[in-house]
Amino acid sequence: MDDMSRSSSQSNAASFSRRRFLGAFLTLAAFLRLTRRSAATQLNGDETVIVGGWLLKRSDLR
Amino acid sequence: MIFSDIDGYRASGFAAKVCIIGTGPAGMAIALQLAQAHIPVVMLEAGSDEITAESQEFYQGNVEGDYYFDLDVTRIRLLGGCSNHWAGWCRVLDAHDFEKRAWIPDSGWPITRRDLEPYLDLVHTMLDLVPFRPNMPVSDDIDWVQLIKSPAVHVGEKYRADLEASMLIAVVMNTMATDLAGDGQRVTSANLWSQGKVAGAIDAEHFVTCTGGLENSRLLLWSNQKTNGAVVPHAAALGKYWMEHPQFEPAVALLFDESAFEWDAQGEAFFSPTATAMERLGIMNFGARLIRKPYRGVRGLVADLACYAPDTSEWVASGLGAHLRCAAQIYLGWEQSPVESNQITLSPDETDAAGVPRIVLHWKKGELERRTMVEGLRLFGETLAAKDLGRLRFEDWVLNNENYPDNQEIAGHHHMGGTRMGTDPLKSVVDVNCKVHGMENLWVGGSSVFTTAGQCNPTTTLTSLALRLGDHLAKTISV
Repeated sequence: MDDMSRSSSQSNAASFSRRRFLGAFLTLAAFLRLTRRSAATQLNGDETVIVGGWLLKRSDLR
Repeated sequence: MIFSDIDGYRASGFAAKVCIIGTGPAGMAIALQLAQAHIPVVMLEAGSDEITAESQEFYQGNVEGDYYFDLDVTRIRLLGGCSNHWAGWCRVLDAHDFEKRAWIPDSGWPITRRDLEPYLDLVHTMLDLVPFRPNMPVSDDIDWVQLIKSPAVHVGEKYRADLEASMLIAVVMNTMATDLAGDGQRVTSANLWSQGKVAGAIDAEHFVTCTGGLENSRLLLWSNQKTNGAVVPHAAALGKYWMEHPQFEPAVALLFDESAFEWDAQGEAFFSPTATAMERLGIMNFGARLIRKPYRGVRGLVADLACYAPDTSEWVASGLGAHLRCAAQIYLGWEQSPVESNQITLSPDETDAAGVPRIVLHWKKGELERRTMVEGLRLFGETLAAKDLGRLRFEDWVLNNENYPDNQEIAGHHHMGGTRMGTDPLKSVVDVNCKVHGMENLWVGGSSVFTTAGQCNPTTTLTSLALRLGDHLAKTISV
Protein backbone atom coordinates (compact mmCIF):
# COMPACT_ATOMS: atom_id res chain seq x y z
CA MET A 1 0.00 0.00 0.00
CA ASP A 2 2.78 2.38 0.91
CA ASP A 3 4.53 1.60 -2.32
CA MET A 4 1.37 2.32 -4.34
CA SER A 5 0.82 5.66 -2.57
CA ARG A 6 4.37 6.67 -3.09
CA SER A 7 4.16 5.70 -6.75
CA SER A 8 0.95 7.66 -7.27
CA SER A 9 2.33 10.70 -5.50
CA GLN A 10 5.49 10.60 -7.60
CA SER A 11 3.44 10.29 -10.77
CA ASN A 12 1.32 13.35 -9.88
CA ALA A 13 4.40 15.36 -9.05
CA ALA A 14 6.08 14.35 -12.31
CA SER A 15 2.94 15.23 -14.26
CA PHE A 16 2.71 18.66 -12.61
CA SER A 17 6.38 19.27 -13.21
CA ARG A 18 5.98 18.34 -16.84
CA ARG A 19 2.97 20.63 -17.32
CA ARG A 20 4.77 23.50 -15.63
CA PHE A 21 7.83 22.95 -17.79
CA LEU A 22 5.70 22.78 -20.94
CA GLY A 23 3.82 25.94 -20.09
CA ALA A 24 6.97 27.87 -19.32
CA PHE A 25 8.84 27.06 -22.44
CA LEU A 26 5.87 27.42 -24.76
CA THR A 27 5.39 30.95 -23.44
CA LEU A 28 9.05 31.57 -23.97
CA ALA A 29 8.79 30.02 -27.41
CA ALA A 30 5.95 32.31 -28.46
CA PHE A 31 7.98 35.34 -27.43
CA LEU A 32 11.16 34.18 -29.06
CA ARG A 33 9.32 33.19 -32.21
CA LEU A 34 8.19 36.78 -32.61
CA THR A 35 11.57 38.26 -31.95
CA ARG A 36 13.85 35.78 -33.64
CA ARG A 37 11.98 34.43 -36.64
CA SER A 38 12.80 37.52 -38.65
CA ALA A 39 16.49 37.07 -37.92
CA ALA A 40 16.51 33.44 -38.90
CA THR A 41 19.00 32.35 -41.51
CA GLN A 42 17.46 30.33 -44.27
CA LEU A 43 19.75 28.22 -46.41
CA ASN A 44 17.20 26.60 -48.60
CA GLY A 45 17.12 23.02 -49.63
CA ASP A 46 14.00 21.77 -51.37
CA GLU A 47 12.34 20.56 -48.23
CA THR A 48 14.50 21.70 -45.37
CA VAL A 49 15.66 25.02 -44.03
CA ILE A 50 18.27 25.99 -41.50
CA VAL A 51 16.77 28.25 -38.90
CA GLY A 52 18.54 29.25 -35.74
CA GLY A 53 21.07 26.53 -36.41
CA TRP A 54 18.39 23.83 -36.67
CA LEU A 55 17.94 21.86 -39.84
CA LEU A 56 14.15 21.76 -40.02
CA LYS A 57 11.42 20.63 -42.34
CA ARG A 58 9.41 23.51 -43.74
CA SER A 59 6.38 22.06 -42.01
CA ASP A 60 8.15 22.51 -38.66
CA LEU A 61 7.89 26.28 -39.10
CA ARG A 62 4.12 26.38 -39.23
CA MET B 1 63.75 -14.58 -29.47
CA ILE B 2 63.94 -11.11 -27.98
CA PHE B 3 67.28 -9.35 -27.60
CA SER B 4 67.73 -6.23 -25.53
CA ASP B 5 70.28 -4.81 -27.97
CA ILE B 6 72.00 -5.43 -31.29
CA ASP B 7 75.09 -6.96 -29.68
CA GLY B 8 73.08 -9.83 -28.27
CA TYR B 9 71.50 -10.42 -31.66
CA ARG B 10 74.83 -10.50 -33.44
CA ALA B 11 76.26 -12.91 -30.89
CA SER B 12 73.34 -15.27 -31.45
CA GLY B 13 74.31 -15.99 -35.05
CA PHE B 14 70.65 -15.64 -36.13
CA ALA B 15 70.52 -15.34 -39.93
CA ALA B 16 67.49 -13.36 -41.00
CA LYS B 17 66.24 -13.27 -44.57
CA VAL B 18 63.94 -10.34 -43.91
CA CYS B 19 64.54 -7.27 -41.77
CA ILE B 20 61.35 -5.59 -40.57
CA ILE B 21 61.85 -2.13 -39.13
CA GLY B 22 59.14 -1.49 -36.54
CA THR B 23 57.04 -3.75 -34.30
CA GLY B 24 53.56 -2.21 -34.53
CA PRO B 25 50.53 -4.01 -35.99
CA ALA B 26 51.92 -3.88 -39.54
CA GLY B 27 55.37 -5.18 -38.65
CA MET B 28 53.91 -7.82 -36.36
CA ALA B 29 51.46 -9.05 -39.01
CA ILE B 30 54.21 -9.41 -41.61
CA ALA B 31 56.55 -11.17 -39.19
CA LEU B 32 53.86 -13.65 -38.20
CA GLN B 33 53.08 -14.41 -41.85
CA LEU B 34 56.74 -14.97 -42.68
CA ALA B 35 57.33 -17.15 -39.63
CA GLN B 36 54.32 -19.21 -40.66
CA ALA B 37 56.15 -19.81 -43.96
CA HIS B 38 59.35 -20.75 -42.03
CA ILE B 39 61.21 -17.64 -43.17
CA PRO B 40 63.55 -16.19 -40.50
CA VAL B 41 62.85 -12.55 -39.67
CA VAL B 42 64.56 -9.91 -37.58
CA MET B 43 62.43 -7.06 -36.24
CA LEU B 44 64.06 -3.83 -35.11
CA GLU B 45 62.38 -1.87 -32.33
CA ALA B 46 63.81 1.57 -31.61
CA GLY B 47 62.10 1.71 -28.23
CA SER B 48 61.82 -0.81 -25.45
CA ASP B 49 59.08 -2.18 -23.20
CA GLU B 50 58.39 1.16 -21.55
CA ILE B 51 57.74 4.69 -22.71
CA THR B 52 60.62 6.97 -21.81
CA ALA B 53 61.08 10.67 -22.39
CA GLU B 54 64.50 9.98 -23.92
CA SER B 55 63.00 7.66 -26.52
CA GLN B 56 59.97 9.82 -27.32
CA GLU B 57 62.31 12.75 -27.89
CA PHE B 58 63.36 11.14 -31.18
CA TYR B 59 59.82 11.76 -32.42
CA GLN B 60 59.79 15.52 -31.90
CA GLY B 61 59.16 17.60 -34.98
CA ASN B 62 57.41 20.68 -36.29
CA VAL B 63 54.00 21.25 -37.82
CA GLU B 64 53.21 23.96 -40.34
CA GLY B 65 49.64 24.78 -41.39
CA ASP B 66 46.61 23.81 -39.37
CA TYR B 67 46.78 23.17 -35.65
CA TYR B 68 47.89 19.59 -34.99
CA PHE B 69 49.20 17.44 -32.19
CA ASP B 70 52.83 17.51 -31.07
CA LEU B 71 54.58 14.86 -33.13
CA ASP B 72 56.13 13.18 -30.07
CA VAL B 73 52.67 12.85 -28.52
CA THR B 74 50.74 11.52 -31.48
CA ARG B 75 52.76 8.26 -31.64
CA ILE B 76 54.60 5.90 -29.34
CA ARG B 77 58.12 4.47 -29.63
CA LEU B 78 57.63 1.13 -27.94
CA LEU B 79 57.33 -2.61 -28.62
CA GLY B 80 53.95 -2.88 -30.33
CA GLY B 81 54.19 0.65 -31.74
CA CYS B 82 51.05 2.72 -31.92
CA SER B 83 48.86 -0.22 -30.92
CA ASN B 84 49.89 0.85 -27.42
CA HIS B 85 47.67 3.92 -27.53
CA TRP B 86 44.89 3.16 -29.98
CA ALA B 87 41.24 3.38 -28.99
CA GLY B 88 40.35 0.05 -30.57
CA TRP B 89 37.76 1.19 -33.14
CA CYS B 90 37.82 -1.20 -36.06
CA ARG B 91 36.38 -1.17 -39.55
CA VAL B 92 37.85 -1.93 -42.95
CA LEU B 93 37.65 0.76 -45.60
CA ASP B 94 34.48 0.48 -47.67
CA ALA B 95 34.61 -0.86 -51.23
CA HIS B 96 33.89 2.60 -52.64
CA ASP B 97 36.85 4.05 -50.72
CA PHE B 98 39.16 2.16 -53.07
CA GLU B 99 37.53 3.46 -56.25
CA LYS B 100 38.52 6.35 -58.43
CA ARG B 101 36.13 9.20 -57.66
CA ALA B 102 36.13 11.93 -60.27
CA TRP B 103 35.39 14.67 -57.73
CA ILE B 104 38.40 13.74 -55.55
CA PRO B 105 41.69 14.42 -57.34
CA ASP B 106 44.23 11.59 -57.18
CA SER B 107 41.77 9.15 -55.65
CA GLY B 108 41.62 5.48 -56.65
CA TRP B 109 43.66 2.59 -55.31
CA PRO B 110 45.22 0.04 -57.65
CA ILE B 111 43.60 -2.70 -55.55
CA THR B 112 40.04 -3.27 -54.38
CA ARG B 113 38.56 -4.20 -51.06
CA ARG B 114 38.20 -7.75 -52.35
CA ASP B 115 41.99 -8.03 -52.35
CA LEU B 116 41.94 -7.64 -48.57
CA GLU B 117 39.05 -9.93 -47.80
CA PRO B 118 41.10 -13.18 -47.71
CA TYR B 119 42.99 -11.70 -44.75
CA LEU B 120 40.09 -10.44 -42.64
CA ASP B 121 39.76 -13.63 -40.59
CA LEU B 122 43.40 -13.29 -39.58
CA VAL B 123 42.86 -9.63 -38.74
CA HIS B 124 40.01 -10.61 -36.46
CA THR B 125 42.29 -13.07 -34.72
CA MET B 126 45.09 -10.55 -34.31
CA LEU B 127 42.87 -7.75 -33.05
CA ASP B 128 40.39 -9.91 -31.10
CA LEU B 129 37.36 -8.78 -33.11
CA VAL B 130 33.85 -10.14 -33.37
CA PRO B 131 32.38 -10.42 -36.91
CA PHE B 132 31.18 -7.28 -38.66
CA ARG B 133 27.57 -6.92 -39.69
CA PRO B 134 26.70 -5.44 -43.11
CA ASN B 135 25.75 -1.78 -43.49
CA MET B 136 22.06 -1.14 -42.87
CA PRO B 137 20.33 1.58 -44.92
CA VAL B 138 18.60 4.35 -42.98
CA SER B 139 17.71 6.16 -46.20
CA ASP B 140 18.94 6.27 -49.80
CA ASP B 141 21.66 8.62 -48.57
CA ILE B 142 22.72 7.32 -45.17
CA ASP B 143 23.82 3.92 -43.96
CA TRP B 144 23.95 2.83 -40.39
CA VAL B 145 27.45 1.36 -40.19
CA GLN B 146 29.31 -0.58 -37.60
CA LEU B 147 32.64 0.08 -35.99
CA ILE B 148 33.68 -2.76 -33.74
CA LYS B 149 35.39 -1.87 -30.50
CA SER B 150 38.39 -4.13 -30.16
CA PRO B 151 39.73 -4.55 -26.64
CA ALA B 152 42.48 -2.32 -28.07
CA VAL B 153 44.96 -5.14 -28.38
CA HIS B 154 48.54 -4.09 -27.74
CA VAL B 155 50.29 -6.37 -30.18
CA GLY B 156 53.60 -6.17 -28.30
CA GLU B 157 51.96 -7.52 -25.15
CA LYS B 158 49.75 -10.00 -26.97
CA TYR B 159 52.57 -11.63 -28.93
CA ARG B 160 55.45 -11.12 -26.53
CA ALA B 161 55.46 -14.71 -25.28
CA ASP B 162 55.23 -16.03 -28.85
CA LEU B 163 58.11 -13.80 -29.91
CA GLU B 164 60.25 -14.94 -26.99
CA ALA B 165 59.61 -18.58 -27.86
CA SER B 166 59.99 -18.20 -31.63
CA MET B 167 63.03 -19.60 -33.38
CA LEU B 168 62.06 -17.78 -36.58
CA ILE B 169 61.48 -14.25 -35.31
CA ALA B 170 64.23 -12.29 -33.59
CA VAL B 171 63.22 -8.97 -32.04
CA VAL B 172 66.02 -6.52 -31.32
CA MET B 173 65.01 -3.85 -28.85
CA ASN B 174 66.55 -0.41 -28.32
CA THR B 175 67.83 -0.44 -31.89
CA MET B 176 66.89 2.27 -34.36
CA ALA B 177 67.39 2.05 -38.11
CA THR B 178 68.58 5.54 -38.92
CA ASP B 179 68.75 5.05 -42.68
CA LEU B 180 69.00 2.48 -45.44
CA ALA B 181 71.90 2.02 -47.81
CA GLY B 182 71.16 1.06 -51.40
CA ASP B 183 72.37 1.03 -54.98
CA GLY B 184 69.27 2.17 -56.81
CA GLN B 185 67.96 -1.37 -57.26
CA ARG B 186 68.42 -3.04 -53.89
CA VAL B 187 68.74 -2.03 -50.28
CA THR B 188 72.02 -3.46 -49.06
CA SER B 189 71.83 -2.73 -45.34
CA ALA B 190 70.25 -0.64 -42.61
CA ASN B 191 72.44 1.62 -40.51
CA LEU B 192 71.78 1.43 -36.79
CA TRP B 193 71.83 3.54 -33.67
CA SER B 194 71.69 1.87 -30.29
CA GLN B 195 72.41 2.77 -26.69
CA GLY B 196 73.31 6.34 -27.60
CA LYS B 197 75.79 5.58 -30.35
CA VAL B 198 76.24 4.41 -33.92
CA ALA B 199 75.85 0.64 -33.92
CA GLY B 200 76.99 -0.53 -37.33
CA ALA B 201 74.63 -2.01 -39.89
CA ILE B 202 72.40 -5.01 -40.41
CA ASP B 203 72.07 -7.05 -43.59
CA ALA B 204 69.14 -8.98 -44.99
CA GLU B 205 67.76 -10.11 -48.34
CA HIS B 206 64.63 -7.99 -47.96
CA PHE B 207 63.77 -4.91 -45.92
CA VAL B 208 60.31 -3.82 -44.85
CA THR B 209 59.76 -0.43 -43.22
CA CYS B 210 56.86 -0.47 -40.77
CA THR B 211 57.71 2.51 -38.64
CA GLY B 212 54.38 4.32 -38.87
CA GLY B 213 52.62 6.88 -41.03
CA LEU B 214 55.07 9.64 -40.23
CA GLU B 215 58.32 7.78 -39.67
CA ASN B 216 58.22 5.68 -42.84
CA SER B 217 58.48 8.86 -44.90
CA ARG B 218 61.18 10.27 -42.66
CA LEU B 219 63.31 7.13 -42.86
CA LEU B 220 63.04 6.93 -46.65
CA LEU B 221 63.53 10.66 -47.21
CA TRP B 222 66.68 10.63 -45.10
CA SER B 223 67.94 7.44 -46.75
CA ASN B 224 67.41 9.00 -50.16
CA GLN B 225 69.12 12.21 -49.14
CA LYS B 226 72.17 10.29 -47.90
CA THR B 227 72.39 8.06 -50.97
CA ASN B 228 71.42 10.58 -53.66
CA GLY B 229 68.21 8.74 -54.44
CA ALA B 230 69.53 5.18 -54.35
CA VAL B 231 66.86 3.92 -51.94
CA VAL B 232 63.70 5.40 -53.49
CA PRO B 233 64.63 5.96 -57.14
CA HIS B 234 61.19 7.36 -58.00
CA ALA B 235 60.76 9.84 -55.20
CA ALA B 236 58.41 12.43 -56.70
CA ALA B 237 55.61 11.45 -54.31
CA LEU B 238 57.76 10.49 -51.32
CA GLY B 239 56.45 12.14 -48.15
CA LYS B 240 53.51 13.65 -50.06
CA TYR B 241 49.75 13.10 -50.09
CA TRP B 242 49.78 12.81 -46.31
CA MET B 243 46.32 12.52 -44.75
CA GLU B 244 44.49 12.52 -41.42
CA HIS B 245 40.88 12.19 -40.37
CA PRO B 246 39.60 15.59 -39.23
CA GLN B 247 37.38 15.03 -36.19
CA PHE B 248 35.19 17.71 -34.67
CA GLU B 249 31.90 18.23 -32.85
CA PRO B 250 30.03 20.34 -35.40
CA ALA B 251 26.43 19.57 -34.38
CA VAL B 252 24.04 18.14 -31.83
CA ALA B 253 20.85 16.24 -32.47
CA LEU B 254 17.56 15.83 -30.72
CA LEU B 255 16.48 12.25 -31.30
CA PHE B 256 12.77 11.66 -31.00
CA ASP B 257 13.00 7.97 -30.34
CA GLU B 258 16.32 6.61 -29.26
CA SER B 259 15.06 3.07 -29.63
CA ALA B 260 15.26 3.63 -33.40
CA PHE B 261 19.02 3.40 -33.09
CA GLU B 262 21.17 0.48 -32.12
CA TRP B 263 23.55 1.91 -29.53
CA ASP B 264 26.71 0.04 -28.77
CA ALA B 265 28.01 -0.64 -25.28
CA GLN B 266 29.57 2.83 -25.17
CA GLY B 267 26.23 4.50 -26.04
CA GLU B 268 27.37 5.35 -29.54
CA ALA B 269 26.09 4.77 -33.07
CA PHE B 270 27.74 5.42 -36.44
CA PHE B 271 26.36 6.63 -39.77
CA SER B 272 27.99 7.12 -43.16
CA PRO B 273 26.90 8.35 -46.59
CA THR B 274 26.09 5.98 -49.40
CA ALA B 275 28.31 5.99 -52.49
CA THR B 276 25.54 7.55 -54.59
CA ALA B 277 25.03 10.36 -52.10
CA MET B 278 28.75 11.16 -52.06
CA GLU B 279 28.84 11.26 -55.84
CA ARG B 280 25.71 13.40 -56.08
CA LEU B 281 27.02 15.95 -53.58
CA GLY B 282 30.68 15.75 -54.58
CA ILE B 283 31.81 15.00 -51.06
CA MET B 284 34.10 12.48 -49.41
CA ASN B 285 33.32 9.75 -46.93
CA PHE B 286 32.45 10.60 -43.34
CA GLY B 287 31.39 8.91 -40.16
CA ALA B 288 28.81 10.64 -37.98
CA ARG B 289 29.25 9.24 -34.49
CA LEU B 290 26.30 9.89 -32.23
CA ILE B 291 27.03 9.91 -28.52
CA ARG B 292 24.05 10.06 -26.20
CA LYS B 293 24.04 13.04 -23.89
CA PRO B 294 22.66 12.95 -20.37
CA TYR B 295 18.89 13.30 -20.16
CA ARG B 296 19.20 16.79 -18.74
CA GLY B 297 20.58 18.00 -22.05
CA VAL B 298 17.36 17.13 -23.84
CA ARG B 299 15.28 19.84 -22.20
CA GLY B 300 17.65 22.59 -23.21
CA LEU B 301 17.51 21.43 -26.80
CA VAL B 302 13.71 21.09 -26.76
CA ALA B 303 13.40 24.61 -25.40
CA ASP B 304 15.76 25.92 -28.06
CA LEU B 305 13.85 24.09 -30.77
CA ALA B 306 10.67 25.67 -29.48
CA CYS B 307 11.99 29.07 -30.52
CA TYR B 308 11.77 28.06 -34.16
CA ALA B 309 9.53 25.04 -34.44
CA PRO B 310 7.00 25.32 -31.63
CA ASP B 311 4.63 22.60 -32.80
CA THR B 312 7.41 20.10 -33.34
CA SER B 313 8.95 21.05 -30.04
CA GLU B 314 5.64 20.75 -28.24
CA TRP B 315 5.14 17.31 -29.73
CA VAL B 316 8.54 16.26 -28.48
CA ALA B 317 8.06 17.93 -25.12
CA SER B 318 4.74 16.21 -24.58
CA GLY B 319 6.61 12.96 -24.46
CA LEU B 320 9.23 14.07 -22.00
CA GLY B 321 9.15 11.74 -19.08
CA ALA B 322 6.53 9.55 -20.71
CA HIS B 323 8.76 8.35 -23.54
CA LEU B 324 12.47 8.27 -23.54
CA ARG B 325 13.83 11.10 -25.68
CA CYS B 326 17.47 11.47 -26.38
CA ALA B 327 19.95 14.14 -27.26
CA ALA B 328 23.19 13.26 -28.91
CA GLN B 329 26.46 14.98 -29.55
CA ILE B 330 27.55 14.43 -33.13
CA TYR B 331 31.22 13.73 -33.60
CA LEU B 332 32.09 13.90 -37.25
CA GLY B 333 35.21 12.21 -38.51
CA TRP B 334 35.82 12.42 -42.21
CA GLU B 335 38.07 11.65 -45.09
CA GLN B 336 40.80 14.03 -46.08
CA SER B 337 41.61 14.32 -49.74
CA PRO B 338 45.08 13.28 -50.95
CA VAL B 339 46.84 16.54 -51.71
CA GLU B 340 50.47 16.78 -52.75
CA SER B 341 51.15 19.82 -50.58
CA ASN B 342 50.18 17.98 -47.41
CA GLN B 343 53.54 16.41 -46.88
CA ILE B 344 56.40 15.39 -44.66
CA THR B 345 59.74 17.06 -45.26
CA LEU B 346 63.02 16.93 -43.38
CA SER B 347 64.02 19.83 -41.21
CA PRO B 348 67.02 21.66 -42.69
CA ASP B 349 68.48 22.48 -39.30
CA GLU B 350 67.07 20.22 -36.56
CA THR B 351 68.11 16.63 -35.93
CA ASP B 352 67.50 14.05 -33.25
CA ALA B 353 70.30 12.59 -31.10
CA ALA B 354 71.17 10.12 -33.85
CA GLY B 355 71.64 12.92 -36.35
CA VAL B 356 68.47 12.17 -38.33
CA PRO B 357 66.68 15.33 -39.46
CA ARG B 358 63.42 15.94 -37.65
CA ILE B 359 60.09 15.93 -39.45
CA VAL B 360 58.37 19.06 -40.67
CA LEU B 361 54.73 18.16 -41.24
CA HIS B 362 52.87 20.46 -43.63
CA TRP B 363 49.17 19.88 -43.03
CA LYS B 364 46.08 21.83 -43.98
CA LYS B 365 42.44 21.03 -44.43
CA GLY B 366 41.07 22.35 -47.71
CA GLU B 367 37.77 23.34 -49.28
CA LEU B 368 36.78 19.76 -50.06
CA GLU B 369 37.18 18.87 -46.39
CA ARG B 370 35.00 21.83 -45.35
CA ARG B 371 32.41 20.99 -47.93
CA THR B 372 32.32 17.38 -46.80
CA MET B 373 31.73 18.44 -43.20
CA VAL B 374 28.94 20.91 -43.99
CA GLU B 375 27.18 18.93 -46.70
CA GLY B 376 27.66 15.69 -44.80
CA LEU B 377 25.97 17.12 -41.75
CA ARG B 378 23.19 18.49 -43.89
CA LEU B 379 22.73 15.09 -45.49
CA PHE B 380 22.57 13.38 -42.13
CA GLY B 381 20.24 16.03 -40.72
CA GLU B 382 17.93 15.73 -43.71
CA THR B 383 17.69 11.99 -43.17
CA LEU B 384 16.84 12.52 -39.50
CA ALA B 385 14.17 15.04 -40.47
CA ALA B 386 12.73 13.10 -43.40
CA LYS B 387 12.33 10.00 -41.26
CA ASP B 388 11.21 12.04 -38.25
CA LEU B 389 13.96 10.39 -36.28
CA GLY B 390 15.04 13.73 -34.92
CA ARG B 391 16.37 17.18 -35.75
CA LEU B 392 19.95 18.35 -36.04
CA ARG B 393 21.37 21.67 -34.88
CA PHE B 394 24.61 23.00 -36.35
CA GLU B 395 27.13 24.65 -34.09
CA ASP B 396 27.65 28.37 -34.73
CA TRP B 397 31.22 27.98 -35.98
CA VAL B 398 29.96 25.74 -38.77
CA LEU B 399 27.09 28.00 -39.79
CA ASN B 400 29.24 31.11 -39.68
CA ASN B 401 32.07 29.48 -41.63
CA GLU B 402 34.53 30.22 -38.85
CA ASN B 403 37.84 28.47 -38.31
CA TYR B 404 37.84 24.95 -36.92
CA PRO B 405 38.04 25.08 -33.12
CA ASP B 406 41.33 23.94 -31.60
CA ASN B 407 39.87 22.64 -28.34
CA GLN B 408 38.14 19.57 -29.78
CA GLU B 409 39.42 16.22 -31.00
CA ILE B 410 41.00 17.92 -34.05
CA ALA B 411 41.97 14.66 -35.74
CA GLY B 412 42.24 10.95 -35.12
CA HIS B 413 45.99 10.43 -34.67
CA HIS B 414 45.62 8.54 -37.94
CA HIS B 415 48.78 9.08 -39.99
CA MET B 416 48.20 8.04 -43.58
CA GLY B 417 49.97 8.52 -46.90
CA GLY B 418 53.50 9.67 -47.58
CA THR B 419 54.43 6.40 -49.29
CA ARG B 420 51.12 5.88 -51.06
CA MET B 421 50.22 2.95 -53.25
CA GLY B 422 49.73 3.42 -56.99
CA THR B 423 50.83 2.52 -60.47
CA ASP B 424 52.22 5.92 -61.47
CA PRO B 425 55.68 6.50 -59.91
CA LEU B 426 55.11 10.24 -60.19
CA LYS B 427 52.12 10.02 -57.84
CA SER B 428 52.95 7.02 -55.69
CA VAL B 429 55.86 5.35 -53.91
CA VAL B 430 54.86 1.68 -53.68
CA ASP B 431 53.18 -0.67 -56.14
CA VAL B 432 50.16 -2.93 -55.66
CA ASN B 433 52.26 -5.28 -53.51
CA CYS B 434 53.67 -2.49 -51.33
CA LYS B 435 57.09 -2.73 -53.00
CA VAL B 436 58.92 0.54 -53.56
CA HIS B 437 58.85 1.46 -57.26
CA GLY B 438 62.12 0.55 -58.93
CA MET B 439 63.51 -1.45 -56.01
CA GLU B 440 63.78 -5.22 -55.84
CA ASN B 441 63.81 -5.79 -52.10
CA LEU B 442 62.32 -2.77 -50.32
CA TRP B 443 58.75 -2.93 -49.06
CA VAL B 444 56.55 -0.68 -46.96
CA GLY B 445 53.92 -1.72 -44.41
CA GLY B 446 51.39 0.40 -42.58
CA SER B 447 48.97 3.21 -43.25
CA SER B 448 51.60 5.27 -45.06
CA VAL B 449 50.71 3.22 -48.15
CA PHE B 450 47.06 4.35 -48.10
CA THR B 451 46.09 5.94 -51.40
CA THR B 452 43.02 7.53 -49.84
CA ALA B 453 41.92 7.61 -46.25
CA GLY B 454 38.27 6.55 -46.07
CA GLN B 455 36.45 7.62 -42.95
CA CYS B 456 37.25 4.90 -40.44
CA ASN B 457 40.14 4.20 -38.12
CA PRO B 458 43.01 2.74 -40.15
CA THR B 459 44.30 -0.11 -37.97
CA THR B 460 42.04 -2.83 -39.39
CA THR B 461 42.80 -1.90 -42.99
CA LEU B 462 46.54 -1.48 -42.45
CA THR B 463 46.73 -4.83 -40.67
CA SER B 464 44.90 -6.48 -43.59
CA LEU B 465 47.32 -4.85 -46.03
CA ALA B 466 50.28 -6.00 -43.96
CA LEU B 467 49.03 -9.58 -43.84
CA ARG B 468 48.62 -9.44 -47.60
CA LEU B 469 52.16 -8.08 -47.94
CA GLY B 470 53.49 -10.81 -45.63
CA ASP B 471 51.75 -13.43 -47.72
CA HIS B 472 53.14 -11.98 -50.95
CA LEU B 473 56.63 -11.69 -49.52
CA ALA B 474 56.55 -15.27 -48.28
CA LYS B 475 55.61 -16.48 -51.77
CA THR B 476 58.25 -14.27 -53.38
CA ILE B 477 61.01 -15.55 -51.10
CA SER B 478 59.94 -19.16 -51.35
CA VAL B 479 60.09 -19.18 -55.15
